[in-house]
Amino acid sequence: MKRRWRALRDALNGPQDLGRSPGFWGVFIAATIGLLLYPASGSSFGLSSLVSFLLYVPMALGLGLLWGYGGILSFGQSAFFGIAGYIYGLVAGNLTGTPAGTIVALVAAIAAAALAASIFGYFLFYGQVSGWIIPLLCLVLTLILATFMGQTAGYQWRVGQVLLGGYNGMTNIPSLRAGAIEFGGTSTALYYLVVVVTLLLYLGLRVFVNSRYGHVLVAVRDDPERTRMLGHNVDFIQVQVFALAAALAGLSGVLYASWGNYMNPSTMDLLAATLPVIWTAVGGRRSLLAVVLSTVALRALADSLAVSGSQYAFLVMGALLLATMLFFPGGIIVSVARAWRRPSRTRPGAREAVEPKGKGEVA
Amino acid sequence: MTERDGRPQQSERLLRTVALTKSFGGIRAIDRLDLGVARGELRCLIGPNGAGKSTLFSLIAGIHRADAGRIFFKGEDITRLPPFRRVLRGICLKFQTTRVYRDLSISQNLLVALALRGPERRDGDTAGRLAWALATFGLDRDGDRPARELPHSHQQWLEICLALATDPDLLLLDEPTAGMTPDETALTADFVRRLNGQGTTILVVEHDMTFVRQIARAVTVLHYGRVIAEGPLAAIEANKDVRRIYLGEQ
Amino acid sequence: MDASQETPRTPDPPGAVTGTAENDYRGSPRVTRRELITATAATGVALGLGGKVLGVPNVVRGAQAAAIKFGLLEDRSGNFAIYGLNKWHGTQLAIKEINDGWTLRGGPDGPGGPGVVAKVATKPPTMHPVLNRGASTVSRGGAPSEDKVVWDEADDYLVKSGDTGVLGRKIELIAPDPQSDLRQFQSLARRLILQDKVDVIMGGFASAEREALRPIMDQNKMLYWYNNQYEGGVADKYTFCTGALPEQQILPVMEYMIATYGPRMYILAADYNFGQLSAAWTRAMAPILHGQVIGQEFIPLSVTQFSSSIARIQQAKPDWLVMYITGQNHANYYPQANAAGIKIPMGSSINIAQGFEHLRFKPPALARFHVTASYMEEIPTARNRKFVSRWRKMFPNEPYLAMEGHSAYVATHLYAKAVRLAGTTDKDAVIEALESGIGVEAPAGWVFMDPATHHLSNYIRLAHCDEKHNITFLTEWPHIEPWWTRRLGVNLVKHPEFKQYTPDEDPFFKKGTKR
Repeated sequence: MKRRWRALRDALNGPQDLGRSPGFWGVFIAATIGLLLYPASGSSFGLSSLVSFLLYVPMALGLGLLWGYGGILSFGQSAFFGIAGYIYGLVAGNLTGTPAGTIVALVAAIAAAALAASIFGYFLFYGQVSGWIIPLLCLVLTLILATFMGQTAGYQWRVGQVLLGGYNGMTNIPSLRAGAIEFGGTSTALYYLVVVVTLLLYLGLRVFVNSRYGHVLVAVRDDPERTRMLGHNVDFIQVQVFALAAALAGLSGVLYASWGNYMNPSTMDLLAATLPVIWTAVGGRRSLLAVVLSTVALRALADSLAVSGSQYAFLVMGALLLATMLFFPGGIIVSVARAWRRPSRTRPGAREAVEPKGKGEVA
Repeated sequence: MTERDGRPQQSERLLRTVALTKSFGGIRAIDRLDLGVARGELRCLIGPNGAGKSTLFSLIAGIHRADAGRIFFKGEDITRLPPFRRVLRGICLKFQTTRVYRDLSISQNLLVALALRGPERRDGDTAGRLAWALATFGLDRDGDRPARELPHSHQQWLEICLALATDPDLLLLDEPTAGMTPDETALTADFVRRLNGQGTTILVVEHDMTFVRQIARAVTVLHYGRVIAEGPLAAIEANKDVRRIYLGEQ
Repeated sequence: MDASQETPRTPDPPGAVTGTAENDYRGSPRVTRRELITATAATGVALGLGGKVLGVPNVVRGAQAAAIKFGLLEDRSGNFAIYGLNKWHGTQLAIKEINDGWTLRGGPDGPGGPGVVAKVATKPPTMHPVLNRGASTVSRGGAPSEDKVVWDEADDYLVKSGDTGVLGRKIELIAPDPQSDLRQFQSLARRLILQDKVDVIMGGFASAEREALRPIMDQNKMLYWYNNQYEGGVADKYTFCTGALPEQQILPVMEYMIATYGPRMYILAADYNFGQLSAAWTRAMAPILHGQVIGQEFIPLSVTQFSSSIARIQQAKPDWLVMYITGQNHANYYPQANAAGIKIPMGSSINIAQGFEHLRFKPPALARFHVTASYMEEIPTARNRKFVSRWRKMFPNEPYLAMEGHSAYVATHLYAKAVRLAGTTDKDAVIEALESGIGVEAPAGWVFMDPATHHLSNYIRLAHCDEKHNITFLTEWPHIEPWWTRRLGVNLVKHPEFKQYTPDEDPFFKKGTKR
């Protein structure tokens, strides 16, 4: 099949994400090089700041995949962020003597998040829960976890020598460490780790959504019954994507614990649950690129509003979300990208003349 | 089970339903229905509106679960099997109201259908057969066109191709020529005959008697959820009961 | 109001300082030309005389010394805004006074400031008939002595520091808004330390905010002050706390209430760290104070309906209620209990003084409420009246001068004093100075920074709220030391630590641990 080979070969440039021209890749490479060279000229505060934006990208990408490509809106990704952060703190805090203790903790944390999501997702998707109830159930999950963790203040709430800490949170969590390299909050090591992880994750997911499985996922979003009738185990696919998104949220949780050495129930509360949805919706959930850009931009905006002492930070974010929903329902970045491409489509004979690689709509 | 003329032996039957029953609300849509389809057959299901034709398809495909009775496919009892597993066994349905992925391109649509994994479904001829089908329907060009831009008839053809891509042993076509011009209908009829000639068992629900005459050898007539007549087309058309109930209304 | 000594003299033209910092991140008053000239002249003289005459160490380098950067992380939006705004104002007031050359009376010396009460002879002593000397000899068999104020309160708690700002450097306040968001606390703390390169950071209302900051402060060896009442136990080389502690609030209120109303107590506590630990203290201390906890309830923070709790209280009929409830939701208890006709007296360490419920709720919801506070606006001493008027002159729209605004104010002055003592803003030197045993006259009374525990002894008063929501002070404990962590062997001067102790680590509490 000619078409089939073409899709495989152009995996990165498939139709499922924005930005396919050589110009785009040029800018992408330039930005990557800029990010990688930044530590040479940037202050350690600048590094720490950028890390605090980028470390949320895995969680946002997971939600973008789950919601934009899978059609499942989860209002509870913060639950898996928190589970992973806390498990990391518990394991790393108890393995302080062991050299690879934090790495074991990292693996345990992400596995815990994925496992929790698999179990929860099994009941959601195999139980044939109606689509519109799913966001509510996810929100309930994260709120239950936040409330539960908030009342674990007593000394009896501990694992080994690490206290859960209740509302005060779990403090002095060790940063990730590999041999002699410590990935502390202001370290260059953590900066590079986060940049490289984000980059690889983005590219990997881009290939993923353009793959066969990625198309099946989109088919599940657009018409689950049709997809079932083409032989796909839709329930299982949904659980798989849900678990993958949870693992990504968990990765963000561990990176946060390594950055701030502190974990707290408020990372799972209503605001924390809503923010990823806002980032994804404002950028455009149907494009991984838009999700990455809007997450970084909105995190930076929130921080700069705090610095300028504005009491209207919440209002600004809310107004931004409202404006997006009213005027750019597909997301600001996605709408801008569509408008940019539209003039070329109206030229006569445009369809054959313009780039032959997958010019189809962002699905 | 009663014997009827022209029906193959029990052991060669690909699909068999036994006393199949389904009700919606208080209305019995399928009423203790027995049906047998042999491997390699090309059978039409006809009957007045509300006779239960589409319901029967949905029961065979697994969209609805039967209240009573059984369904056997290749000798296996599939009554409790979820729909996607039936596709993996070799049954595929083209819906009555055309369902393709409207926002995906033609090639993306096919990618989804071809993404099946499963040892039962791997077949070297699938690619060839699909290519032939796409060429027949003129869908092998402009693979990047979104499916919603296709005319209705082409969308129906695309859906048939999607079903073909799953390499079915039994293809269920629910009103494949609805809204088509006579030329398109003829093209579809020709395709169906050829496909059947290559060995695919095809079950077709159809209202358009012209199409039925172009393809059918064997016909089953449904009425109020039961089989009231079954046999070669000529015999059916001559059947007094059928004429009264169905053909008489045309 | 007296004319000259009433308020710190401001050399600025009018309007330069009042409420300037409402929306600005860097909130200290701008330097005027007159100040610049004064500073230059002072510097020139100092350089010329080698600092000996003025007694100001010669750290000034140029015509104008670099400002001391003072970082503040208090919430001005979000859930904790009403507390954070109050503390921010307290800090601003203190900085303005410091920059204008004022300081709190005190230092590494004992108490004995204005308003000391002592036993006084009713008649002056007479000369000894034989020895013909003895201004110190008192006639025998004369009138008994009486209690009298031996030092007039016309003198203020503020005295001139002899300095402009600290060591000739003005304090510049850098106060971003963390929006009650823990992640912002972390980010902004890093910003203050690494980018603004501040000399000290104060801030945090909830214990969670403090615990989010401590790792960052410790990693960067940044001097950090937590100026809020809390559950106690922090033993951290770089952290100093000025808020009231359980041993300063819970024990006194229990002592009074048991003696006055009876031993049977029922605890209503918010279901999180502060509430749970306060209840643990209450249970552990009850036997010593001859009290008896007849029941306890832990209320989740989201609860707004208290009918079941009220029913249980009515059934249990305690002598008095121990109230450790917190937050906007829990405040609904008071009108509901009032409507249900509950007239049981209440004792607490947490409401009214901090969240001014007695002003926010209609009487008589908070009637029969008793709280032990390290400060309240209603304190009737003359020095507090001065403090309140100075505050309200700078912040006329302040809803209430809450307890923690005072803590922040005192902490800021204490810091300035320590820097002056150390002669430098170098953090280790300042910490050493803070560990030298400094006491100051705060508006509430004399307070002392304990070297071993890095916590403040506080002047505690028992406030009582009546049916009309008037506040009276029934009794006081002028000096309660922060003794609990000392009990656990904490001595940060000798053994630096970086943790928070919980009551379960104290063997005494284990005996009474029952949830």
